Amino acid sequence: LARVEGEGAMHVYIDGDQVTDVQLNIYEPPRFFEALLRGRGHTEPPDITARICGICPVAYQMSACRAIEDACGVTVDGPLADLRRLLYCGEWISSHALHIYLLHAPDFLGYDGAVELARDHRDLVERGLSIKKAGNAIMALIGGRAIHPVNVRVGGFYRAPSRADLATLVEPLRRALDGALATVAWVAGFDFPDFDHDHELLALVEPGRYAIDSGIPTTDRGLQFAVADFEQHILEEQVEHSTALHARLAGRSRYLAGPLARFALSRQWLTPIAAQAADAAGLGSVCRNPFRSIVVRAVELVFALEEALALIDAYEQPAMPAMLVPARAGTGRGATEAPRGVLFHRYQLADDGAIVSARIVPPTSQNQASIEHDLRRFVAARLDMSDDRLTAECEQAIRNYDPCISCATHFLDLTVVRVPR
Amino acid sequence: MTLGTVVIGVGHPYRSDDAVGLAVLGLLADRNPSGLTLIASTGEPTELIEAWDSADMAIIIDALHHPYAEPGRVHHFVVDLAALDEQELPSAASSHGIELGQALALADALDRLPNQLILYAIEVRDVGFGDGLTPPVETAARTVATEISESWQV
Repeated sequence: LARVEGEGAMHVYIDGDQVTDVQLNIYEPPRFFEALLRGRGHTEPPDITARICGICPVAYQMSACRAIEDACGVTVDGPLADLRRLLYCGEWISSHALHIYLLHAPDFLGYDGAVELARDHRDLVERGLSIKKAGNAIMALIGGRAIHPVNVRVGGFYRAPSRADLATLVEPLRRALDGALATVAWVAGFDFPDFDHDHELLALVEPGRYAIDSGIPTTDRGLQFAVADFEQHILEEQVEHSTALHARLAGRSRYLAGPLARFALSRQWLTPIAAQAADAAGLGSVCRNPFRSIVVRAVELVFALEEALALIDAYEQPAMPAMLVPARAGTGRGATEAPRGVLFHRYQLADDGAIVSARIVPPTSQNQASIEHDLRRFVAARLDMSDDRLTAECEQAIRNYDPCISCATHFLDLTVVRVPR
Repeated sequence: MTLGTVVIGVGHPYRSDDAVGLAVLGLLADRNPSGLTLIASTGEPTELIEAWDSADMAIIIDALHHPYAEPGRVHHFVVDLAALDEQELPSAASSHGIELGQALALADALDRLPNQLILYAIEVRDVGFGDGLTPPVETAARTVATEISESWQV
């Protein structure tokens, strides 16, 4: 998992029976990468930004490619766009399987972590790893390797696989689809705390299909804007307690990106088996309980597997593995749906393609204000717990959002400060 | 199919000395080693398990970060896989708190340990954002690469 995304601390301040403050402090890497990119060539961001996150390198590559192609006036479509979507499905499968089985499920079953779960239920963990492996296989075949894919370039790929190459993925993906359906049924049966949020939900929407690699930023309260206007609508602000910027909707308030938002805004475009699985899991049209995000992720797992199989079935090897993207002066923007939510990139290029400025808005920092808001309410209802117990429950609550910092069993320093009486 | 010996370099390329495991891989790749499969890893447990899944022997190179680190100091362990529960393994520089021990415990529970495991842990101090190793850690990377290629190359 991404080492750079992994640092975090959470501070809960309690005065008597009042939670006076909750501060989630994420040491956010994109600021470093924005500086690192300045002066680099316009072909370099997909490889460099892929290193921001070890779990979602494809998301960074895809948003980077879209932004640079936008700056250069090139649209990648047809089989190359389908191949990108297939690669992205691989990342969703791998990331969701990892989070569901190794990070989130142990919380609901009373285990400290995946190791303890594996000792008692080896078959379950094996099922999760085998689903993850199917996603990794897509990334290895199309991306060149499963971790930090190297085959992605601005304009497409260095090499495009043949139909025969992709055919080797079909059987593992079909088996993984069976496993994913079993996953939905399994996690839908967990006990979920009664806890709903009221955040505005933001996700990309692409009418006709469940948005992954493109779409229009849309909220469940009627706001919609072009990716080109992202920075007018999403404002990032410094907060004292964190090096990560806090995002909010201009003229509105905090918002939540990620699976719950995607599901609320694109449920109607789920693939057939995924839609049935969502119905069977009792998800309804919108899910506002962050604890049930594990069910939504499992449904998205089914979707990504179905979508991958459909893309492979329809695939025709493109004549060229990439479109030419000649450099030109300009500014381009790109947004895609990383497993954790909307990921936005913007690049300003000089006429020789050198990067003048870069901006990266990752999903975890967008969700930070909403996570803190939820945690404040969550802690307020649990003040009589011991600090150890409260720490464990807060860790579980934070894992609902699958922030990149959630990747370890004990991922953050959590301090509870009680005012002495 | 068995991979024979896998060399797994753990680290992040833009976290200064945390990248030492990757640097050792790069040095080994330059020497074109025969009989060694080189794999870069972020250190995530399932990634490590997949990396050593078909291997007879796994050699892991990772950064060791602690407050009193002496940058460049190399620790070399032959991990006793039969006595995992009793062993205190050094944690990696990963700020996640993900430790190699966790990956080994998970692999043990899933019966997916390699037959042999060698660990090179290189002490580091600087794991801030940046690329390139500090001189003592770079020297250590060369030492470890030489030792691995001389000891385990077929």
